Amino acid sequence: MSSARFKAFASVMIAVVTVLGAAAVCLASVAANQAGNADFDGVTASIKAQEATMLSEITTYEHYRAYTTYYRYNELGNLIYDESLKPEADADRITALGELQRQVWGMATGLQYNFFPPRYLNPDGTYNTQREFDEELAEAAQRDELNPDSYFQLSDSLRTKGMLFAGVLIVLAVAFWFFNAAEITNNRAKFFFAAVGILLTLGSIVASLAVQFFF
Amino acid sequence: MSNESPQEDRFQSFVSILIATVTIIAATTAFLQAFAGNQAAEANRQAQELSLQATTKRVTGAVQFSYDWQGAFQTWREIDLQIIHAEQEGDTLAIERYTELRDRVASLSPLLGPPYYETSVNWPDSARYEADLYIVDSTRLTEQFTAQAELGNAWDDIANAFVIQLTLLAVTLSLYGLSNSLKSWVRWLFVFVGLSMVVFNLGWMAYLLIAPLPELPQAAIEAYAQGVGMAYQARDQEAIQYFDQALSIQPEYANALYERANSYFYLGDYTNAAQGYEAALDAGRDDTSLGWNLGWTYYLLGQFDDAVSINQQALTRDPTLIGLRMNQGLVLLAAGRFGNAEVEYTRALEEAARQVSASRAAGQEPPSSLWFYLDAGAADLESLLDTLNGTPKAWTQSPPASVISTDLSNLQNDALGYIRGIKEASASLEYTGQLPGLSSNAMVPSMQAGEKIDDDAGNFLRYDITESFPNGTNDVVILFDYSGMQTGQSEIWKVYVNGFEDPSLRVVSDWKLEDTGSAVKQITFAYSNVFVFTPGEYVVELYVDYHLMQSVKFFVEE
Repeated sequence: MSSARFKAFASVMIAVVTVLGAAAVCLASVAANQAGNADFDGVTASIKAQEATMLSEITTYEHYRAYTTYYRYNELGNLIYDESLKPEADADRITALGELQRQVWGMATGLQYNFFPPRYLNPDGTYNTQREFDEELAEAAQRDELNPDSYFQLSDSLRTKGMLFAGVLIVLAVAFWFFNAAEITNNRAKFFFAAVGILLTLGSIVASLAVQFFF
Repeated sequence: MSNESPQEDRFQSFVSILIATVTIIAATTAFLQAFAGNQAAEANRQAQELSLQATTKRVTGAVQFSYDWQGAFQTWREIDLQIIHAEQEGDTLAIERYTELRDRVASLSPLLGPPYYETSVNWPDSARYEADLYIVDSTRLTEQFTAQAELGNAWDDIANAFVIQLTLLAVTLSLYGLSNSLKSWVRWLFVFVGLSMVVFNLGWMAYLLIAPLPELPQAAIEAYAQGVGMAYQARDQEAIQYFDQALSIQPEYANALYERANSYFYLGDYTNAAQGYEAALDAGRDDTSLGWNLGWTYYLLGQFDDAVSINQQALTRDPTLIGLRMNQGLVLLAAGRFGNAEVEYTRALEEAARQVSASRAAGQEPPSSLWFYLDAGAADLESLLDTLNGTPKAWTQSPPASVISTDLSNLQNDALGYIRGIKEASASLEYTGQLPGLSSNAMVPSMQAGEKIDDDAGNFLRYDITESFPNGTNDVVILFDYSGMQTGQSEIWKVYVNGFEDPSLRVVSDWKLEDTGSAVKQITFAYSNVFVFTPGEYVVELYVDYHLMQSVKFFVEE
């Protein structure tokens, strides 16, 4: 190959490497942009998850507060009933206790129907706050995406992709250096420089394709 | 083929290699910039997540505690009061019924069982429960958030520095390109400047790569969070141990230094507290709370000049702090700078009036702390006077009398005037939104506490005047003479128990009696068969048209 043709070839390779570098920067930028979007989606999911947690907690404890009042009256009715069976209770007291018992059980029943869902009452009469909280949270998850992890994993992956493209840029810069060296060298070393430049360029292309399509 | 001279060819080849070399440096810088940017984004994202989690933890913890306290415990307490009532009535069956009911209700909340319920005082340890429920966790998350946010900021700074380096490298490339088109010695100047910039960039890059990042070890955060939990329970000695542990891991942990100083303060170790606040300041914590606490600690140590200086710094940052401005007035008064003290107290009351007026004009209310700070301002002056008079109370906070070397007579006169001014301003601002107007002709020349004595049939016999009442007292009368009153004037009674007002005993009404005469005001729990006055010092104050007419002090014995 004549010196002029070799220099033309080196110049073309320099241009090719420059274009490939620009492409790598472009792909890195796209990946970074997508990572930012995924982060945004992740934070949005995270906000919704925390909001759902707070609202579920508030709802559950609102109901548990009503249950507490229900429990108080219900148990008081039970105790009054037990008391009316005691031998020391006279007739007047039994009458008064009976009236009080109906009154407090009436209040308990009223609360049960209007202020907390009886579905969460356990067979032993206790209230299953954990179940209600979990169901509330699951209900919120039906409406909104509450899991940020998948978005954050995608974001991490895209960031790594961007980093790899930036790494490719370094390799292309080194190739650029070798093609420059080849262009200004007049002895046989120019072929070595050009060869290294070509190898680095080809390696960069393969790496970029691998990152783009397999990462 | 080039038509240039061999020397020119060599120069152009040299510049080409320089350009290619700078391109490699630029690509490496771009890689590092992307890396730093990624690290910043990840740290900031984690900071956002931790911030959200901390908020959620605090809110859900508060929601749960709200239930535990005002749902479960309030119910428990109501039943407990029913038991006391049944005991008073001697109704054994009712006692059994309510005791059993109370015990069943106790199963609804961990607050009402071990280890939180203290049977010795028949009251739950809510601070311990809250600390375990969410205080420690939310503190840990908040600290983690702060650490991540600082890390994110540091990475952001590094990424920005690399952007500047890329700009400089672009300029370098431009200089090298231009040097090719120049023929004179100037082209060597361009090459030299470009090389200098590259060397500078490489040095800067090396510094950025080896400079340490702000990192707060997890172990230090954990110890700090545990310390905050202990401090929340007023277990300050144990809190200090945790803060020591955090500081042994991270000596410049500003928040740990600050909180440890607070614990020293609550233990009454003002010297260590002041040193701790100073260390926190040196470690980078520079906020109003720190300045406020440090100024107050200097005051208690008698370091009045230091107190004035640090208070002034905090007031310069935020001149609307009424409590701090009254602290400044108090320090100046104790230091004998009476004119300056008057300026500060006047400005404090004017600021209070401005805040109340602005809030009401906007259809809002002023912050509740405003009333607290006004009360505290008067109480601090009373504490100073009690110390100077040799009658300090259990709740008194003031510097030792030995460090106050000013004209005591002037100090006492001014302090009494300020106490009255603050109390009247507080009463007037709360109910009218304005500072009190001119005094009316109303006078209450005397006021005494006493006990109503009835005969066995419940008929009134007399009032026995006394300053001291036995434990178990549930009824006290205040006897006073008055003149110059007008029907419809505002009448406010305030009762202070051990230095702090008991708002449940405040009475607000309009004057309905004659313009001159004698009257009796009853302060009583006798309407129930459950409550009595807790032992301590009681001060009863009467305000007419927001002017303090008279006050009387009495004691309920242990």
